[in-house]
Amino acid sequence: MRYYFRISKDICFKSFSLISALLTFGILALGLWLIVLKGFSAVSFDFISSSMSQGGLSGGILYQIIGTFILIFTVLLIVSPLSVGIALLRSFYLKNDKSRKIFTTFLYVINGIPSIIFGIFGFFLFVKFFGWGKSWLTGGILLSMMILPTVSLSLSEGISRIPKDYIESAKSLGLSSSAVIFSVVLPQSFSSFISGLLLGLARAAGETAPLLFTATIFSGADIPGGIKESPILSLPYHIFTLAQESYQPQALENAWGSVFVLILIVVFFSALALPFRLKSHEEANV
Amino acid sequence: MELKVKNLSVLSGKEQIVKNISFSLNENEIVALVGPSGAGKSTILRSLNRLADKESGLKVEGEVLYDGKNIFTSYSLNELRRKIGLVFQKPCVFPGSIYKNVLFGIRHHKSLKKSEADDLVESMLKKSHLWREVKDRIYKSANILSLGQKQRLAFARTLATDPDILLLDEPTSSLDPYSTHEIEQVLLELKQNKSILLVTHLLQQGKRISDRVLFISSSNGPGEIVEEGTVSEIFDNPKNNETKIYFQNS
Ligand SMILES: Nc1ncnc2c1ncn2[C@@H]1O[C@H](COP(=O)(O)OP(=O)(O)OP(=O)(O)O)[C@@H](O)[C@H]1O
Ligand SMILES: [Mg+2]
Repeated sequence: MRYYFRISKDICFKSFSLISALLTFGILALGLWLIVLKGFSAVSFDFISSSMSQGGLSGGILYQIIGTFILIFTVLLIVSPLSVGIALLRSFYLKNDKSRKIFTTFLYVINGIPSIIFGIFGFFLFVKFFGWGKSWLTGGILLSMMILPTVSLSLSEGISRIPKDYIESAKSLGLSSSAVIFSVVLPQSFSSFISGLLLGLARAAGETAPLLFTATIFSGADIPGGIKESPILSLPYHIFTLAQESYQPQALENAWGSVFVLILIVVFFSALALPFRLKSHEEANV
Repeated sequence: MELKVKNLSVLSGKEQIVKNISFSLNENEIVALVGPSGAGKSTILRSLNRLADKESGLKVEGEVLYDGKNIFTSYSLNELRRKIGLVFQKPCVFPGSIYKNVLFGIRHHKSLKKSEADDLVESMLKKSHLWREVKDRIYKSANILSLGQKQRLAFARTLATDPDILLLDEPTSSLDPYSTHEIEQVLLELKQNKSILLVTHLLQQGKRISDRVLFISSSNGPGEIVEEGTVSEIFDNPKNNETKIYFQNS
């Protein structure tokens, strides 16, 4: 009797997880399918290589794409060194468990802050207080702050998977702590770092809220020449604005086209991360 | 240079792992450290190049003098660890080529020209009796080597930093009798200008190459050196009862 009960419980759980998984993937697949269906026809070589005109009703999204890549590149430059510093701090310099836990919680809290809050913060600090006006750099800094916890934690987990023997062997040969970091720790956790970084960048590429009143405008910007009063165009903001004009069929079509391109960029970065993610699991098995 | 250990105790929290360890390792001498598993042999070696207190979070008490100066206060870690080299019980090779592995330590201490590096790799691999087996693939990954080959590579790597004192934790535990013999010959050669503290489970090895033997036991709690003497004293005529039983059974 109990045996059959256990079996049926088993079946229940199995079907429950299966249904949840199918539901999640189903919704995701539906969304992607819709984007491809609606967006693909709107995308052409002209669309991605010319600048927009008539308030987005015609022309393309060249500078929105460039603006998005400027942001991604800025984030890359800011996040790489900072996340290495934070991960090393967490893994090596916080000696006791308690301070490490507090620090980790702190990173998760930052990770959980709604992105609009970063926007407000950036608005008061950079736009107003520093008097930068709208600037691509503010956008880059805010997006960096947003993804810094993800990247640092991913790297830090990679570091904690390095066998202790490696570090001790290196130290026993008389290597200084910094030499151990550069010749053992960082090379050994490189794939965790890259995979975290790429996932973070994919997330940053799609954010609108932090950029709304700090970095992007809808039209009238191209490649920024300085820092102050140097806004950029960006894909998410472009989509956001066009979607509000959805009563105009041409605006809607261009919005779908932009969505398609943005998804391609995001998928591209996430896909780049995949081999590194697989590799970091291999390292863990040493 | 000689190493003098006085009243060394190692503690994990409040619990003693070894206590009152005193011995000296003179110049041009091989001293064998023998005793049952778990007695604290590796712990002693690890405290002599400061891995125990710096990496394992153990508390190390007592005095260790190297060249007359206290290792805990008078040397920088990097300098000390280069002078007092440790070869681990369980070999660990770094990702990367065999070549890179041999140079892993030394290239942080001095810069080598390409030709010097090549020569050094060859001579170290010859000393560790690995050269014949790997000479055609020194630029290939070290990870695919067999356990015994890894053990010899780790030996070569430590040797390349040219330490004054060698702490060897069962350096031949994964080797066949022939390779063991070869390594023993190398240790006898190295003795000309180094001092060697050798942990071994092979009593014959202790007999063959060591000048003195320390017997450590932890049957009464923390590990202690219960008998010390020359090879003939301790092997042929052990005074301590436990030593006697240990040797009879091997
Ligand atoms: N970092 C540590 N923290 C707490 N206890 C430890 C630590 N390292 C070793 N010990 C303990 O110290 C004792 C001695 O261990 P050690 O490795 O020195 O023995 P050993 O004589 O080398 O044994 P074997 O011949 O099996 O290698 C063991 O009981 C071990 O559990
Ligand atoms: Mg041991």
